[in-house]
Amino acid sequence: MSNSYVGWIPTVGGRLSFSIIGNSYTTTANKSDRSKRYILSYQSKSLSDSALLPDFIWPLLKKSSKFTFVCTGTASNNPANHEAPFQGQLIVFDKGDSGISDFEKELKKRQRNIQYGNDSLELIQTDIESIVDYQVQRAALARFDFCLQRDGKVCINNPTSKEGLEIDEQGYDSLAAQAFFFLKDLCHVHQHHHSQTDTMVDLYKDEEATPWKEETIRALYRHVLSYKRNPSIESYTSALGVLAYLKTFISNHFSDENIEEDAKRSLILENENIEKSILINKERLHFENDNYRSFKLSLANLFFLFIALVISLSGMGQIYQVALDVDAENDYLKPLLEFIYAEPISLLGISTAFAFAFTMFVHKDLWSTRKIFKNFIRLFIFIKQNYLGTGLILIGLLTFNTAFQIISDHFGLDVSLSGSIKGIINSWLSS
Amino acid sequence: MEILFACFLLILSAFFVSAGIQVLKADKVAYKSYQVLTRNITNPLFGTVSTSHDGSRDYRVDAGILWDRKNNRVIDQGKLSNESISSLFR
Repeated sequence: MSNSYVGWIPTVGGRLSFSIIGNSYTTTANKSDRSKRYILSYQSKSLSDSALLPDFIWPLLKKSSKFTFVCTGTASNNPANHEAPFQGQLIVFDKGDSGISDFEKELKKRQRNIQYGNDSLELIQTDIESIVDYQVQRAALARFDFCLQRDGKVCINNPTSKEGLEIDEQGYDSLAAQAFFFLKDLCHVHQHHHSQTDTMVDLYKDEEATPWKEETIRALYRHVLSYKRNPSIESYTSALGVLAYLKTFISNHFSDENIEEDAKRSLILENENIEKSILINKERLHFENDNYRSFKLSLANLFFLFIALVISLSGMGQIYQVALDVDAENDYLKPLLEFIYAEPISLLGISTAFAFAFTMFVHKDLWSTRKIFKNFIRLFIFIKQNYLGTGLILIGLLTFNTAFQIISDHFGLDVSLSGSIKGIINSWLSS
Repeated sequence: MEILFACFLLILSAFFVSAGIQVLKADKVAYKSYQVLTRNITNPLFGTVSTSHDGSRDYRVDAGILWDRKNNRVIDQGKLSNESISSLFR
C-alpha cells in the first residue's frame, strides 16, 4: 500500500525552530543536549463533528470520538547541521481503549523525567520507545513515520496498525490527516487566524495527480480571498496573516528554477496589491465602525440613564413618603408605577436583564462568536432563511410576552403587554 | 425565583430576536450554499456533512473522524467550519 503524504506546516519566518515545539496547548517535553534534540508529546482530543451530541453518547453506539495522539522524534542539535529535519513517529490511539489512560500517565512520568531528570537522552529515548512500541503493537489504530523539514514541509508515510487490525487506504488517509493536524498544532501557534482553522492547509497524497505545492498555494489563496470578502476587522486581520504565510510559502517553494514561469503566473496572484486592498478596506471599516460604535454607545448610555433615573426617583419617593397620584385616564401606568415604587430591588434585577438583552443587540459579536450559537446555526441552517429568521423572532417575542406575564402575575398587576402598548399608543395619540 | 426566571426569559427572548434578525440579514448566497450542503438536521446532528466537493476537499467543512469499534473502521465526520458560519453574518 502506498500511503505517503505531504503537507506544509505554516511558518511566517520561513524556518521552523524545533526548540519551541510544544509551546502550545499540548503536553510536550522537549529537551536537547549538544548533539541531539528529543521531543515527546501527546494529546487527547475529541474529533466528533456533531453539533449537539456529547462525547459520551458515541460509546453507547459502539463508536469512539476521543483519540490520543503521540509524537516522538529527534532532531539534530548540531550547529553545523542547520538543515537537519525533525523525524520520528506519529501514533493515533482510540482513547476509549483499555490501557490508554495508564499509557498516558506513563508518558507524563517520562516527560517529567525528560525535563527534570539527569538521565542521558539516549537512555530516555530507549526507555520511551520500548513502552511506545509495546502500545503500538497492542492498541495503535495507526502509526506513521514522519519527517518535518525546517521550511515546514512534512512527509508522513509507512502506516501500520496494531496486530490483527486491517485499515483500508481511505481510513489511513483520514488518520494521517488528523495526525498532521496534531503535528501542525505542536509546531504552530495560531497568531493570525482562528484557532480552529484547520483547513487553512491540508495534507495531500504524495502523487502526481495532487501536486501538494499547487494544492497548498490554492488553499492559502482561497482563505485570503475568502477573508478579504468578509468585511470585519477580525477577518481582514486574518487575511493579512494568511497572506504573510502565503508569501513565505511562495518564497520557499516557488523560487526553484525548475518551476516554469507559466505555472508561477497561473498560481501566484499580485500579492502586494491584494495586501494594499485589504489594508484600505480595514482602514475604511475602522472609520465606519468608530462612528457606528459611538452611536450605539450613546443609545446604551441613554438606556442606562433612564434606569438610573427610575431607581433613584423611586428611592427618593420612598424616603420622602411621596403619595402616588395617577391620572385616571392613564391608569394603565398606575400598577407599573406602584411596582417601580414598591419593588426597587426587583426592578433592578429586571433592568439588569433588559440591559443585558440590550447589550446583546448592541454587541452582537458577544454571542454570535459563541460555540453554542454556531452549533445552533449548524443544526437549523437546513431551514429556509426567511422561515428560520421569522420563526426565531416569533419565538423571541413569545418568550418576551411570557416573561412579561410572569412579572405582572408575580406582583398581582393587571397589566398585559398588548394592553400596555395599546394604552401608550392611545395616550400618545390623544396628546 | 419567578422574577429570576422571568429575567432569564427576557435574556432568552433577546437572544432569539437578535438571532432572527441576524439570520434574516445573513448573506443569502452563502446561506443557500450551506443549506444545500447540510441538507437536513441529521447531518449536523451526527456530524456527517460531506467533506468533499466535486472530488476535492471542501474548504467550507471541518473534517473529524469517529472510530467504529464494531466494524474496526474509520468513519469520516464533517461540520460547517466556524469561518463558514462567521462569513454568513457580516
